[in-house]
Amino acid sequence: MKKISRRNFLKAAGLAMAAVGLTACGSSSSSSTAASAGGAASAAPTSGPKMGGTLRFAYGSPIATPGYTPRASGNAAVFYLNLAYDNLFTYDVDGNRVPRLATEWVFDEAEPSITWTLREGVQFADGEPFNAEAVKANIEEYQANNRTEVANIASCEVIDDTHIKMVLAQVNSSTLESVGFFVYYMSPKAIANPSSLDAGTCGTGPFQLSEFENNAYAIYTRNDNYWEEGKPYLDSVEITVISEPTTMSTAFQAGEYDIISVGDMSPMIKQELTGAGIYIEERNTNGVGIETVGLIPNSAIDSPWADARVRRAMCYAIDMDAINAAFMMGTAQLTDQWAVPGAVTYNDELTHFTYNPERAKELLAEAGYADGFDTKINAISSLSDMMTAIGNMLTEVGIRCQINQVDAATQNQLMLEGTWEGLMPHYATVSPDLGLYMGRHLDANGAYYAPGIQHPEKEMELLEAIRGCVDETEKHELEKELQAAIYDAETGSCLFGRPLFINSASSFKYDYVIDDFSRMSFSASWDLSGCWLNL
Amino acid sequence: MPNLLKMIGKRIVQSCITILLVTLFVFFLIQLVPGNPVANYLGASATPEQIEYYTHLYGYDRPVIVQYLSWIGGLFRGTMGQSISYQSEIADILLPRLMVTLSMVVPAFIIGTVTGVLLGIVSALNRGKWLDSVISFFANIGVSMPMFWLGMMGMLVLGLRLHWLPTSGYVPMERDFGQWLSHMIMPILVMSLGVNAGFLRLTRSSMLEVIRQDYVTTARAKGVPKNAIIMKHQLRNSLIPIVTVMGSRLGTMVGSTVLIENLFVIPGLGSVMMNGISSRDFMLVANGVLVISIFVALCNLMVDILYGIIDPRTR
Repeated sequence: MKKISRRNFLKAAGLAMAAVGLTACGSSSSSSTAASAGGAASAAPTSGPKMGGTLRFAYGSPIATPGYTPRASGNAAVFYLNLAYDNLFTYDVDGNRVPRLATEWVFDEAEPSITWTLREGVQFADGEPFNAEAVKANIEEYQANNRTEVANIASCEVIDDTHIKMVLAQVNSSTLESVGFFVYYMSPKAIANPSSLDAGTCGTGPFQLSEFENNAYAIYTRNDNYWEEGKPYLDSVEITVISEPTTMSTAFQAGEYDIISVGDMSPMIKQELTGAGIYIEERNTNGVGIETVGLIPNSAIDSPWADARVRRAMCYAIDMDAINAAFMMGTAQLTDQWAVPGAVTYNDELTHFTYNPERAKELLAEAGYADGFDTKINAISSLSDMMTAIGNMLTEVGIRCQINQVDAATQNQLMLEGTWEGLMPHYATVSPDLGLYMGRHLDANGAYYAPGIQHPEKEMELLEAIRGCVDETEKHELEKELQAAIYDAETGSCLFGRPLFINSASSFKYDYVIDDFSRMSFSASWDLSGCWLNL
Repeated sequence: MPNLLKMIGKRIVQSCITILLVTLFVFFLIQLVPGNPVANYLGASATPEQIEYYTHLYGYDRPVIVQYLSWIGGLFRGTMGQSISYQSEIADILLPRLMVTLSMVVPAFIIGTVTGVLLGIVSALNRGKWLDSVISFFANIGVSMPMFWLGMMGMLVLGLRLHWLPTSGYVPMERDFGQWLSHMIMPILVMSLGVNAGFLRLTRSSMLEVIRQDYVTTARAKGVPKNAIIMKHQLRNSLIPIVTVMGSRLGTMVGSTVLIENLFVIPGLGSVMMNGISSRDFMLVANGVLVISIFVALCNLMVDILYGIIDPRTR
């Protein structure tokens, strides 16, 4: 047997101890990762829902009025609203309407009216019954606030406690979605005293607001009057507003939040979280509530952009695959019309735009701009790099672009007044109901973009036809026809220019968060009534 | 003493005039900035009717001078007006946020100033020695390192890797003092490092300036003990420029916390102002500037008083 010297023994012992130490460090670091992941390994729920716990959610968008729902506007508010309030119906993961506070509804085209059958045994958080009178009071409150969702309701007739008829001013199929999804019902007692809703809520939802600091945080606690038996399972939900995506991601990875919302405009963060392999990403797939970012020319003022051929030339000149690779790390979903590919209103049969600078030059020559022309791209700072790249692509075909950087408020004013020169970003909600969503911009009386675009007869007639069509199948056909009228690469009016990419968001969560249904029904919503923590 | 009171009275009158002028300039200048607060609030789905309704509701359809006079009149009646972006009385937004900002700024200022002055003294007294070099080296790093980067590093190292402190967030003091403290340690430290480095350099140079003065040489020649020379002659005289900077530094710190507040998710005055500017909430911004200018005026008044106490010639 070989004799081991004292020096060699000490060397070996030292190496062994170092190895043990390193292993310990390694295991400590992996155990801390597992801990911060909330036990990612214990993913699949093996038993039924567990009661209790607080769900901590970090979100980039604040809400000014979480309690008084007629003043809560924009999709971002829905995450807050559907904790404390309910609507008459919601959507399932396929985009179909499913009952909430209403169990049935009948659209009568002849009268025209919508008759709702309301769910029995529902109470507001203050103990007031949810009934037809409560629905009527809410509709009238929304009307008093000039909300467009209820503008088409001429009157509400209470039939009995569980039935209400809404008589419409005119046939408009979009009214069903407007009233059924976007009106959140408050207790009539709270409506009579609106100041009680300044920093509180009083709805039929699973949680009610208990602490609120505007633009900072909102804490909701379980509603003991909630109408679904045995629910909710969570004790409370905390929403923290974090506008800085890096801070949000760091805090999430440190285990300070259970679920966060990450926008598509933060591709590096999305990639980092996806690459970690321990978080679950949730994303809307039915297209309801999805937003796109595009590039819209001002066709209303006298300029080359008034010619549809010039607008189409612009669309041909933009290489969106290259833009996606360069600025979104290839993660963005692309579209070329007012819909998400695969949605019921997406028209796959029209001629799609492809990157074709030669065709762009031909179209410019046909329109009398063979030598090109000078124009502007008005862009906010977050898009200015992307717009500079697009500007260079356009310059290649003769559309010489100068980038005019504006801030968000100036951008809002330009789109409101329709006074932008050249091009500017186009933000659009591309939910399937074109009568409702595209109508907001295409209608001559629309508030945003409408003053800056043309309103051709054909498109306007189609819009009216969609609004007046109650049959779903027939409506979708008309919607596809409108998509072709605007977005067909060879014949379209190209009123909204080029849709660039889908600007949605994903929720990232630890796998112990079960049944939150984040973004499943509507892109900016969740249903926490059955959510629980498998800890 | 009557001279000091007279000086304070004079400064208060001057401050009031300054604040009034600031409100006037801010209110009128902000109207020139493009952007519509109502459109920003309502978002892309708004209708012209809704925009008209809210424009009238918040009084934005009145002439600017009427809006200004109405605002000033409201201040005398104890109301700052309504914020459209926050849908709330502005005093209810700004004052709690000011308290949050002060709860971060004041400790950071005290820690930064005290340690900065002490290290500055040590550095000056050891001029040319290794201790002076080490302190100056770190002071230079502290001055040149952006607070944002320092904060990010703190979050990654102390929060994400070591789990010693929360990476971000805010818990109100009244809800849980321990949680409040653990959330505030990092932002306070980050802010105090910038203050510390500035005061360290200032104290060092100021002390070195005083060391060369004749009265210090005379005191040494008279056999006055070293500590007495440092405290009574050197430090007191070198404090004059330090106190001057202290006032303006504290004032500007309150108005410039937006980076730290955004990074650490602290609902303070800076983030409210930033939101007010980006959403063109004119009333919120005007009131925010008013609050900050009052605070700066108060800081300057305190400096003037301290100045009078330290150096009687200035009364």
